[in-house]
Amino acid sequence: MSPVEIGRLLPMMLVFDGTGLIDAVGPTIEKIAPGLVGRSLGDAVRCIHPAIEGRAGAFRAEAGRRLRVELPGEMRVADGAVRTVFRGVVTSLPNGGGLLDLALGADPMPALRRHGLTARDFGVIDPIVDYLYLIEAHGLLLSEFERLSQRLDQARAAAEAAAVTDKLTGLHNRRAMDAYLLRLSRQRGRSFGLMQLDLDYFKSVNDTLGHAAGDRVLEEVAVILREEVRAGDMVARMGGDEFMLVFEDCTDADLLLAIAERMIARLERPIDWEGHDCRISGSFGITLSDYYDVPDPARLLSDVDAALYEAKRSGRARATLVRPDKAA
Amino acid sequence: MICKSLEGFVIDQCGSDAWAEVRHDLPVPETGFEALRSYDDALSQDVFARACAATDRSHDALLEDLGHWICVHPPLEPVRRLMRFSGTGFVDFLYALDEVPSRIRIALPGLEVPDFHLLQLDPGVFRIRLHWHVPGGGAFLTGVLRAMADDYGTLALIERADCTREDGGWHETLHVSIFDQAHQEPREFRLGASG
Repeated sequence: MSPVEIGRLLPMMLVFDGTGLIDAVGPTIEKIAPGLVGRSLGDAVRCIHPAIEGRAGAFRAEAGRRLRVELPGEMRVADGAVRTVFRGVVTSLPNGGGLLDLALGADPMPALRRHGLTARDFGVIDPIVDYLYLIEAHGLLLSEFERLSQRLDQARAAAEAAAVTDKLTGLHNRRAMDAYLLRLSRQRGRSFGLMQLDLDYFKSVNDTLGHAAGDRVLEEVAVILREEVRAGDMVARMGGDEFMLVFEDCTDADLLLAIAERMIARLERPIDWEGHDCRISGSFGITLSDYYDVPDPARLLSDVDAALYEAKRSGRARATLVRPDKAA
Repeated sequence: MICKSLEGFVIDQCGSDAWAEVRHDLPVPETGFEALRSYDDALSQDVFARACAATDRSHDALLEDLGHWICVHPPLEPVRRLMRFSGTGFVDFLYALDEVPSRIRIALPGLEVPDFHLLQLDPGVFRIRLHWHVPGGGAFLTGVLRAMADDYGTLALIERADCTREDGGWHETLHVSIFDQAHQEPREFRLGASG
């Protein structure tokens, strides 16, 4: 077989004779490291592993083994860049020389770019083109998955926020409050105040002016509550015209009573809806976690509800504190 | 992936209002199709039917234009690149059609593509038969082949012949006649050029 024909089958081969001179190279080797024909094996090829001398006999002795080699004459190796490391395998030839066939390693991309190799530079049935196709398809899929997972993350965050938010007022909802109270009551030694608000005369606003007016009132109430508490305090609309507030690190019942009075004063200012004055007020029930040895959320909620009921019964528009001796 | 392409095509060609019209009362995801998800065949067919009306094209014309568009739409350059991996010339590309299902399988298991059979009738004259579970594969391939013939700089005539329903699937036939493989300069393609 002529070297040209061998080169067509094995475009990255080098043939050397028994004295170690290179007789012929495949067209792709000529492209990567031109002018190797006539040079000695020792000059043209450096075997990294195993570290063997550049004699024909040394290469023949490794026949059949996978070698790692580089070509000192490789072109387009920029300053500071490393030479391409090839895989190689030697077959002994009857004339005392041999054929060294090379291939690109696990990541053929850098060498492809460096030498501008095309499918024509590889054997016609070499699956390297499929391999490159797969690398490229893989990269595309990865970036598509990346984008997909970002979209899913955003969607999940939005869904999570929606699940704990009251749509009308933007306050937290009952689900959020229940989870929050449970978390808080499990932290030992954590004091907090709990305040429940039920609007007074809200039903008559709804009945006389309609639900749109009622919604407007609820929005305004939410604004008032937010403004009258600290930024970190938990405010939730539990449903209907019922609200719940939690004041962390609070042990001062008088302070909570004062806050409730302030809120009542603001709630009683008429709220404008399309030229109509909506007049409401509010009744509060208040308790403190310090009243209990072990604050159980269900117990606190039922006590604060009882206090609220008492406020309503004794004339509305007022705040009632759970009596500590009744709590405990 | 097919639904996502259609979505992109309709939006690119006719605007997002047209796409809104298409998806109107169909159970299409709010945020659009995901390229990596599989959707129900029935939904895909509904979407295609609507898209035909929105783009004022017949079913086959829509698929053909879609096949052409995914190869030439600049943001989808990676698709063209993947196509070019199939061969160094247009004839090689045709020969590689037989390997398309296995190529797709290694890259994206789960995407169902037609089976292709290529027969060379005369020098430069080919017959492609394809078999798929839905009709329209031939029209889509016609669009792809026209785009890729241009890409390779080849002057070729691609015609759709018959389309028959057999044993639950669709058999379609295309005829390809190549007049000049080097009619124009092929578009640039280098291995390892991406990324």
